[in-house]
Amino acid sequence: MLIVPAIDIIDGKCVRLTKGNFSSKKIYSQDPIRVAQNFEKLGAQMLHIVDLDGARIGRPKNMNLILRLRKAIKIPIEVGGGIREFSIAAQYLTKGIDRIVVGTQAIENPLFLKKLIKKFGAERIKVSIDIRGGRLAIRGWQQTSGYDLESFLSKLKSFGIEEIIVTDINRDGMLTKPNFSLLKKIQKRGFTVIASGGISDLQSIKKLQSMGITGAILGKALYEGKIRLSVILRQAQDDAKSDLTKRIIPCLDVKNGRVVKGVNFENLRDAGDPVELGKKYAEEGADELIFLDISASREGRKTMVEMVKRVAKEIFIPFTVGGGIQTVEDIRALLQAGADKIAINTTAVKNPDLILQASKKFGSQCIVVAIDVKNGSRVNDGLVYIKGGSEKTKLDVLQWAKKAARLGAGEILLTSMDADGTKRGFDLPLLQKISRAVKIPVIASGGAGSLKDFKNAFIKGKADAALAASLFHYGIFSIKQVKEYLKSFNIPVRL
Amino acid sequence: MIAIIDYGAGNLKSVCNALEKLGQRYKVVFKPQELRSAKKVILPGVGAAGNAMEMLSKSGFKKSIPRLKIPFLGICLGMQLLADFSEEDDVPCLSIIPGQVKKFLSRALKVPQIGWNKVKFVKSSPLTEKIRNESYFYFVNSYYFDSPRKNVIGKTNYGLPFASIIQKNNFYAVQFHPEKSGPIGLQLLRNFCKLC
Repeated sequence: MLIVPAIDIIDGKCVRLTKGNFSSKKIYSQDPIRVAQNFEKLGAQMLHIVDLDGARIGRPKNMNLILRLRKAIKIPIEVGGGIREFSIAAQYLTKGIDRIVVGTQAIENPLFLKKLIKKFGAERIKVSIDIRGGRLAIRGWQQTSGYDLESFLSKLKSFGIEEIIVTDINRDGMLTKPNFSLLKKIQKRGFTVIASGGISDLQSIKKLQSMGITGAILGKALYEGKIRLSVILRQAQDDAKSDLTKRIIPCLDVKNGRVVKGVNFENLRDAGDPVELGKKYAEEGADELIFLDISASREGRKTMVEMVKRVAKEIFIPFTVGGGIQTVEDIRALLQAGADKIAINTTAVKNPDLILQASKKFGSQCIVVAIDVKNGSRVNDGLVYIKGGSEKTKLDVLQWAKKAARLGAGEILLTSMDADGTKRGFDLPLLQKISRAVKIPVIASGGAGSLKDFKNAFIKGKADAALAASLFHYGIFSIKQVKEYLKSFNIPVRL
Repeated sequence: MIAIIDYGAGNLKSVCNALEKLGQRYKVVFKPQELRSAKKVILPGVGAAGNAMEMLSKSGFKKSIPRLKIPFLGICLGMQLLADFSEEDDVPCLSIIPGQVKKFLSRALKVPQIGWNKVKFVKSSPLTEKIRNESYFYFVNSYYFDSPRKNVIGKTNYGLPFASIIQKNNFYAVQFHPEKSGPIGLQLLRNFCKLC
């Protein structure tokens, strides 16, 4: 869970209110920038900044200060308070503010919200719902609106808003407990919820965490020293822990049921036998296997089903089969033969509906969309190629990856054609871009040449798995070597 | 004979292959009557809870499974179906092991969880014999079984700690895929086969 310290500003000073009441103001610091730097030093990963004057009068009053604060720290910040015009929002968002928080205006003028999302993307706009006695509050909490929470939530949903900050005003600044039932109610509607207001002890934080709340905004409890930021951060981190390992996946090219291309194993009776090779890799510690059918003919493909049957009988780790798959029937045949996942590439581009059909029928977990891309690291012109890289499409890689995920792909196998075969490392900017943009796992492919490349794919590229072919086939590194190296950098692997 | 329940969903093939590898006799069954001659039952699973419950209800397994007294193993979705209720499709399940099935809501982590994750044994069980504590198993899941501690045999971290092995009386269940978890997974299945 993300722990987000709040900095509320009145008249250039860092303050806290009680229940949003301006006459209850207590000044904690004359210098909000200093406060922000201090939070950053203690390990905060994000800050929540509110221009309280702005919230009350309807336009920012401390914008310059906030923009200076932005420059003084490195961690992302979100800013709210008085953002009721498009031009104001745009000013913040183009001047380095990572996300803005809108409340009043999202309620009174949904078109404003719609326009913002269109221009800057839903991920940079957060909607804050402030509740007092079951009703939505507006204008710096000075008024209660007549708006109904339920219908407002439906509206937000239809705009594509995913994340909501929920504050129970009657608990804010009260150092009590958060309103768990309210949070749960909004969560049930399918939103990711950031809790705010009344969070004042470790127990509440633990409870929020167990409910699956993704973030907690903390104010008075920190300023009053009721809880220590460093302690909570440690707590939040421990629980956010996952022991899921990064996967190393060898890829085998298969032609007419035989493994081809540079296989260099000693002690194998038959280096071309997919079963024997697969077994060898599984024993070495491969986390999964990918078999890519490069047969050109229909007959060749038929042998693939037979191969899959044999592999499934002998190898008890997951394996993916790809190459030449065109219909739901092709997929069914391979899954029934025992493949765990199916990779589709050209057909997915030509007929995206196949992703939808197949994921509905067999489950997203077995549909891998393979994407081959050139110039992938450029922002807007990484183009997708099909037919084994021989045909250029007009698809932008980022858009295509997002669409594939939306249609039901369970994973993305991302191959950089620029990096492939160079042994100079994975295309890290491309990987990072796609990994961050989709919620499903991304398998890095193309360019592995050194141990460090694998480390970078995971740390810098944020990949979930890394694929390599010749590196393993020629015995340059063993899978075990790669994993031991990764482990020495604290990257979780299965050894 | 081990009965593997076919309810239209899931990839039974890999469970069959694993049992074959272990030299076990098994039969894929479609009707509750076929369970009569079985010594053990496996409910595998890949797919969605709503559809699965509908199929189990239509075929009559919904009534017969809770009455079983022989060792039973639920795998992945087959584990989740033992709960009281699943958030996936909002369906009531078999209510054999108390608990709710909930979605992973972590913002930092990918959903579904795909890959090898660690299982910490919190209680001893014949199912985990000869398996080192904190071994890795292969998981594919977007939902987890939120179970009272009483029935939890093994726990796994994914954003939050969740039950990855549970047991109540003759009902055993694992969230991961033992049939895809290499030699350790096969050992777990072997342990299940030895139960009486």
